[in-house]
Amino acid sequence: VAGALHAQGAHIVNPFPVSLACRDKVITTALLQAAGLPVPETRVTTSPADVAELLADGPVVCKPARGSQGRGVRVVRDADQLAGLAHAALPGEPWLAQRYQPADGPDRKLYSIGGQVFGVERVWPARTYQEKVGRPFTVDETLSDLMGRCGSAVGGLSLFGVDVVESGGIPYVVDMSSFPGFKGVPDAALRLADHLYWTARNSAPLAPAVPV
Amino acid sequence: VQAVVFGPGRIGCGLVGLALKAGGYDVTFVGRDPDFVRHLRRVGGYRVVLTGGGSTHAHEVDGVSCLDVRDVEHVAAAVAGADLVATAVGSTRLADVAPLLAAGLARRGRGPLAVLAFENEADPGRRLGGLVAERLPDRSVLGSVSFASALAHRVVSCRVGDVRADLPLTLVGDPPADVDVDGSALAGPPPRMPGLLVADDYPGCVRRKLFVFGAGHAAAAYLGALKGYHFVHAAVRDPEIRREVLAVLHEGCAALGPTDRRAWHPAAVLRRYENAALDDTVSRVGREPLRKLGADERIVGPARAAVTVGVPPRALTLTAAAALVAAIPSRDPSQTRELLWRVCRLSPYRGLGREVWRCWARLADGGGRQAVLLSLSRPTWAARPASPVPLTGHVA
Repeated sequence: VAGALHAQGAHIVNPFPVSLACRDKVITTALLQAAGLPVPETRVTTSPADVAELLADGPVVCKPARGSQGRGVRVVRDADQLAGLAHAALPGEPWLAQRYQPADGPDRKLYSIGGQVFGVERVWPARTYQEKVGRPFTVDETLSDLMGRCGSAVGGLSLFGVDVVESGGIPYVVDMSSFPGFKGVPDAALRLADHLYWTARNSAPLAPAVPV
Repeated sequence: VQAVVFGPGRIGCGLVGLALKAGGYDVTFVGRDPDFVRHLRRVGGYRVVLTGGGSTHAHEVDGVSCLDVRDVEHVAAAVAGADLVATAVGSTRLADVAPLLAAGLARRGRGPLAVLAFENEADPGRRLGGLVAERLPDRSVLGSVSFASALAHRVVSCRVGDVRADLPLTLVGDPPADVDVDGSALAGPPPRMPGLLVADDYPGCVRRKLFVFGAGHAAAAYLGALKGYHFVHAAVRDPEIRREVLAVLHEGCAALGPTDRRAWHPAAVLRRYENAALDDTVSRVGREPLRKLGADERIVGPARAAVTVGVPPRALTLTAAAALVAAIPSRDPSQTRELLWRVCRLSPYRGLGREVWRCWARLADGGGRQAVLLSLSRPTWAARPASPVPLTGHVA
């Protein structure tokens, strides 16, 4: 539906081609890397044997190219764990194998709603609802700037989320989503509605709509 | 009967023009925008959509004409033949209307004429009368002219349509049609205008509106802007802002005293702010923060009055601090201190002024000028430069 509307010139939040690109972690990671953002060393593969090579330099995080919400993400520390990985993957589907960056603290989820940046700290893997909601933290200028660069790198997103692991003081971008759940952002639904209505109002030629 | 309305804007069209047509007047607007004037001349009308309390009613206003403000000859002739003149041009433009009014009055007979000034200030009728008198060589013509201040209670939030493309105009507002007119300034019988109330205590009417409705509206706008909302209806649905806005409404009622406060029901006022169909933005409601921070205006005015009746104006203090943030986007402490003295007439070192200053320091701390708040009472969150909701009329 979004594709058909886009073809007819509809204004879509987020832009349809960007949303499409963001569904594929291979494309997203390549765009982030190309923009010079701090992304862990990454290899795209369809074979556990390729991952075995990387293990020589330490643990690797394996994730499916089209996964979301942490599904299928594994930390592989030795060759014995590769068998399980092969089992989890779909035949012929690529994975991303990323260098594991030991976190200085909890994982950090950054969310952008129309350019406003919110941060939530969360343990990984989050099991309880409280762990998924996480704890808000103050976003500093470094992370705020990082979010701006991520949004621009993939082509102009206004609603998106980025997962950051700070390791050795470097904020690595380990994942990006074009429409995350915004869990843990206070009054997220209200802020989203406000942003969407504002965008619609400023896009339509006769906006705002007259009540009927 | 003829009426001339200077200022075919939101209040001019959405309230005054509509009510005068309903009262049986032939209405001629006087406008500045040539495209608007051309459009109204060609179409001869517009629509007013009033929405509130779950219902919406559309009103067609037909058979109106419009003159260009630069067409002095025709404007003066229209004023000379009018039975009623109204202005809704904005305080800063009131002086521009005076020469046109004077030209019209100079060629007018001695029949009674009411001039109603719908402007956002304490007594615009008196000021307009003075401005016109300065421009009249023969002031005797003013003997039968009443310059009365008028206070609109309707919110007219937006004008939809494109006059440049000659597309029909629609004004969107809420239902209240009440207009308080200063009875002490009216010489003759009141104009025939539905909703018009002749007020014995006009300053009291202004105070009642400012201290409660105006104060709550300002709180929703300035606190909403701090948390990054674009719309008033969204801001007042934020639980934290809603709590503060309700508190402002209660503090404003307390400041009015036991008799006047009966005019307001905070929950009903809040429902008006919640009206999403109004499409009202925090930038519109929060514009001109410097004027709204005035000592007798909607924020500091009720806060000072609350102090005198022994009610701590906690939420009004927060609103004043938020308005200061809007007024001085650089969040410069010395500019803020100076503004507190000069505009609010409060000392940052004692009493209410000190509380506002402390509150401002907390809101302004840490986030930089582009920040929006996660919470009104917790640290600032960073934001990219595009995000803050712009408010006009601040200190550069």
